[in-house]
Amino acid sequence: MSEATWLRWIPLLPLGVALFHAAFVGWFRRSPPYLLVAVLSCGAVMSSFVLSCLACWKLVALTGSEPAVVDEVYTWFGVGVGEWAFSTDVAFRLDPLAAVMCLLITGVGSVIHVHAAGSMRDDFREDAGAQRFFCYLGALTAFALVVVLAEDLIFLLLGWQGVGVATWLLVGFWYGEARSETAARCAFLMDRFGDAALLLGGFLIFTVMAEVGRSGFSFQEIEIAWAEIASALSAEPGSSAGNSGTLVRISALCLLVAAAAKSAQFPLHVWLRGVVEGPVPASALIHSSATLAMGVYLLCRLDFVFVSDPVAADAVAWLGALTALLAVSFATTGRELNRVLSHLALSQVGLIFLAFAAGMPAASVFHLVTCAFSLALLFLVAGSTIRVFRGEREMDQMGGLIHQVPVLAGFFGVGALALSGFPALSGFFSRDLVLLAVANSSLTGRAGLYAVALIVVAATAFSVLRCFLRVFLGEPERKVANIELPRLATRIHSHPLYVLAFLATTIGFLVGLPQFWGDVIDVQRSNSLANFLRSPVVDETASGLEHWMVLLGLSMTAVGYGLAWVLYVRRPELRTTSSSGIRAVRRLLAEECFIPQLYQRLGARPFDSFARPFVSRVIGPHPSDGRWVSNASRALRLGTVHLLKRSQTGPLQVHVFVVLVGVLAVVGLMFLRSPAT
Amino acid sequence: MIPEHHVIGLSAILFAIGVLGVLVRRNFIGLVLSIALTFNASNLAFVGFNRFWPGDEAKLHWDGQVFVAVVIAVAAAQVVMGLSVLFSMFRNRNGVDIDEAGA
Repeated sequence: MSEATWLRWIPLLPLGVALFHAAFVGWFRRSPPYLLVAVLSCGAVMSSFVLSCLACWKLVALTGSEPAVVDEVYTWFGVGVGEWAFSTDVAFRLDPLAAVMCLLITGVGSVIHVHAAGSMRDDFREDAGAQRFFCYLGALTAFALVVVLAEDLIFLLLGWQGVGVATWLLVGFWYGEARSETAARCAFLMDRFGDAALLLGGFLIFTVMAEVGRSGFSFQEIEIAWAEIASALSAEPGSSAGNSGTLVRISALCLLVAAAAKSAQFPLHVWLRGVVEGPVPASALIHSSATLAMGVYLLCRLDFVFVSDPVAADAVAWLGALTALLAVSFATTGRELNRVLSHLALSQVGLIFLAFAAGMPAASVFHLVTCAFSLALLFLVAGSTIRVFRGEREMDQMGGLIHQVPVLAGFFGVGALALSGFPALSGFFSRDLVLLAVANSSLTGRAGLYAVALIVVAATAFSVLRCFLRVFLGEPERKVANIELPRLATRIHSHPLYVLAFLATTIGFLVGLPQFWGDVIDVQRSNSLANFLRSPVVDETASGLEHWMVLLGLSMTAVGYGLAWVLYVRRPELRTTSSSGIRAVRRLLAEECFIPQLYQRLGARPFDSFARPFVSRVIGPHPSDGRWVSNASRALRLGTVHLLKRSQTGPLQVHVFVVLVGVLAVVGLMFLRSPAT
Repeated sequence: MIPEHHVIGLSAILFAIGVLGVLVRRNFIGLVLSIALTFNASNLAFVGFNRFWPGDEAKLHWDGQVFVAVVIAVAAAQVVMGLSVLFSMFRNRNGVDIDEAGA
């Protein structure tokens, strides 16, 4: 463990710039020059990235069982007495897991900031739009960094709320449009659900810890206490520990709900479909490394809670599998390009949950990292593509773009291959690790989970290739905006894509080669990410079938590719000749299993039908219009006036005397009630 | 050495005199003087408690004295305000009796 007082600047730099933007817009009602806004924001996030690299360098040099770089800023507050007392610090702590997440957020964040500075320039319709946008984007990055670097649960909760607010602001960036506004509201509501669950989980953890005589919210303290609780529970199952065992399980499930809300797992996934209504760089950041990754981070940070409880681990696994299956089936039939990508991102997060539950947090973090690069790349390219087609998002209307903008086709192809796990690209290695983790786990229904993972792999390959084929090959269905084309290849926002494409290609090979691949090609760095995270690595070579499993995963990818190729290039007529059963399934998937409508029917509409009459009849559009409220307040006002005006007799000394009598009465009461010592 | 109950007793007596003064004086100047007396009573208590801090740490603690400095600053500000009100009152009404001030 070593001190580093500059660690605080990693989140504070983007946060400071975001606050500057907010204050500037608030006070002056107009923007400084665009260049200043963009350079400030990009510079802050890039400086954070450099600082993160320095911190990681320092971390790697440390030895010991639990290396960490810490920065304790000050004590936030202290509460309570005796065994219930705890104090919480504003303290940042960079351990290996935080380091990986920190590099991911600042790295992808910098690339997206630079891309946004180039690509969004002409999109800001109002005066201070650019500043507003960079304020929100910087705030999202900063709060995600606070979540990742927080030393205790309370401070993490602060960043957790901040991520939710920044996501809400970004989704609703174009607040004038009804779709955007609805999507933002949906995201906010779902998010509050998760916040409440996290708060509840925190309280329960605190209660359970008090039973073994410990208090405090720092993750290390919780982990130590949890080890004691687990050993106490295993020592005497039943008896008095039974109650605390139930609490432990409930707190684990609360944490799962919190992570599910942030990572958009079923049934809280509906907020993610609206994110594409926001600006493109925002949806790239939310899907790749900021909001969606936070739930995964929470699970990995508190993995000991799930390791000790097989029921909670099963819940995580089946939730992830269900979400992945649902999302990927929506993706296979989706019609809007960016919405399909959003579903693909969600299905990958489902797989990540599954890998986590299988007892390999290292595999889940690895898959998160590789997917983050390819997803960010895909989202940014999709944004440019939609711009080229003049805002058209339906893939039916696109086609043939490879001839006009080959650069975009290249980027999209690299991202698509990396995401679907083409051999030797980054997604290949991480996907193998995920599949192996599931196969070697001790979860309930392991075979079913493995089958679901294989189906998701195949369907991912199918739908991502389908996107590529429909958008870039074939005949253009719609005239493209020719003015944009020459500018796309040269402007600043295409350069960051090279960085993303490079990392999406190589990151898997660089950091997370599975053990048996390392044996095959005889390199020392095999599984370096898992070693770095000091995560309990499942022995991948235990079953002796690992090469067959890799072959199986690879063949599923090939099946997906082949199906897309047949349906969209070789035999497109197969798509139209379908029975009524297939059409019904298609309709079901196109409507996303009617889950959004269900929410609308059961949640939004009853509430609406209660709230609207209530507002119009009781409260009224203006406080003075509502009959009941205004009458009640009028009666209250007159009554109090009537009572109180009698006491206003005039002479000052009388008032002072009354005050004195009151003070003496209070002091006398305190004397009477204080225990005799 | 002065025992602590002497200090606290003096402080209590001063405070009682001050409060009585506020209650019975009709003259504005007398009122301000009485309020200042209550302030000083509490100052005395602060300094006394600071002096009688238990153990050997008495030399290390300045909290009571710091409070006294703050109270003196507030009292000074109050006197400034009070006197300026007094002057304008005297100029406009030719008297400083508070019962006539509201009339």
